[in-house]
Order: sequence, then structure tokens, then C-alpha cells
Amino acid sequence: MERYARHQELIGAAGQTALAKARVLVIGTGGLGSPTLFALAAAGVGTLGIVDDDVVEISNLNRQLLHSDAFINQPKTDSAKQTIGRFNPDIQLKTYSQRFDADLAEQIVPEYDMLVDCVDNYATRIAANACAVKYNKTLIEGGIEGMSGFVQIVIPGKTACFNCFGVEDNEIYRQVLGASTGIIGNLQALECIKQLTGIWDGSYSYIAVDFRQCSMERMFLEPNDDCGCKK
Amino acid sequence: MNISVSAMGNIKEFIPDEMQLELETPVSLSELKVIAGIPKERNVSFVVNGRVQKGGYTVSDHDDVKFLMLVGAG
Ligand SMILES: [Zn+2]
Repeated sequence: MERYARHQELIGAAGQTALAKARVLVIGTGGLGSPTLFALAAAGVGTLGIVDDDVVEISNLNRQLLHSDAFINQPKTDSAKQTIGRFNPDIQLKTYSQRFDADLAEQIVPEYDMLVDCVDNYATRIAANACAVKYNKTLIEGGIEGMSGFVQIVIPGKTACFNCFGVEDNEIYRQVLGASTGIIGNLQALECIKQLTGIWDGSYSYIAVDFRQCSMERMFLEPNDDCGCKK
Repeated sequence: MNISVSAMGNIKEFIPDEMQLELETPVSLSELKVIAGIPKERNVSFVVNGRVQKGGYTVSDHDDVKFLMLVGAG
């Protein structure tokens, strides 16, 4: 299709078909979820599930490009659905205006191929990771604080998961530049697309980005032997 | 024992380059973090010889320890 002509040589016809057939669940439509959803829709991912229980607030608009003034106090899922629906009408969109927890995960996660975690708190990250491991789904994790961010590719049983770190519900520093969330969210979408099209070479599973120094580093993380994700 | 220590991302603020630490006694990763100069209150995660470990893991001679930043906003 002409819409996808400019990346056709990079992923091939088989890659485009894989994207069209793919079902990706994006958890969170904020600073990370906005660029992730735009990039996945632009690439032609066939079905996008969108989870968010928040409403749009004015303080979101320094970074959350899915939303705008017209949607203040409206559910973010409504705003996301309208924005992405206009951007690429060929994509099937399913929205869930609820908090992502174990109950919702049980209902919806089995119908998706891959999860992208774009949330802003450790509790939901831990919940998303647990269901990725439980349902054996690849999870693209991403986070940001201040001038630093990371992306982690979680393939249960193969790469380290988020629980391998033993993270607890830590305090979060919430200052962030929208341009930085754009980089991490797009990187999450890129790694998701690489997984779906078979481009990922398997040599790394963690990317650290330091925006102040303008540096990006990567490494492969082996799972913690004591974590339940290791089969 | 000799331990190799390095950092990724913004933890390089405290450990810009890989360095060797000589330890008299075995220590946990949480203790090593402070010995290496990272403030106790700073959230980090730990990788030893390429494998993710928790703070209670006790380091062994010749371990290659990497400190990763831990960030959670979105
Ligand atoms: Zn794990």
C-alpha cells in the first residue's frame, strides 16, 4: 500500500503483513503512550488496544501529543481513539477506560500478541510485567525521569523481566520534557515493530538513554535466577 | 577480592568509567553501591556478569557489576 511505501524496503511485504495481523496492547496514553501509539499506527499495526483510566488535564499537554485542549476533562481513551482514528483509519482500535490491573489483564491480555508499557508508576509496571510473564507475551517496557530514560525488551524466559530487578513502589521524580518522552516512546514503538517483523537481532534487551549527555547504551540482560520469569 | 564496577545512563554521574574495587570482605550489592560512591537514596538496579540480581546478592571475586538507573515516570 502506498501509505507504507517509504518503509517497505526496510521490513518487506512479509513484515508489513505481520504488522497488519499484529494485535498490540498499549498501556497508558501519556507522554510515552502518545508517541508509541502514533508510531505503531503509522507503521500499520492492525489492531491497537489502548488502556488508560485518566482524563486529560492541562498539565498533560507539555508532552502528551494525542490530547489537546478540546479534550480537557474527557477520558484519555476517547481522545486517543479520535486522534489515532483520524491519523490512520485502517487501524482497529479497542479502548479500555479502566486502570490496568490483574482483573482487566485476565480479560484482555490473552487476545493480544504484545504489550507496550507506557505508564507512569511502578505499581502498574509491576502488574503489566506479571501478566506478560503469566501469558507469555513479549513486553516492551519504557520509563523516564528528568533527563534519563530506558527501554527494556521483556521476552519471558529469554530476557530479564522488570520483576528480576526486585523493584518496589519507589518515589518518582515527575519532571520531564516532552521531547524526551517522544524519544523513549518512539524507541518503544521501534522495538515493538522490530519484534513483530523479526528485525531484532537478539543482542540486547535494555537501552539506557541519558538526554543530558545525549548518549544511548545497550546491553543484554539475563534473567535473575530467582525470578519466576525464568523457565 | 577484586570487583569490576561500571554504570549505565545517569548513574555514570557517580561512576563515569569502569573501575576496579578491592574489597577485604564480601559485601552485598546494596552495600557495594554506597562503596562505589552512589548515594544511598538513589534508586538503581544491579547486573552481575550480565545477569540481573537483587540488592541482597553477595559479590564474589572477579564479579563484573553494572549499576543501571531505575526510572518510572511516563
Ligand atoms: Zn524476571
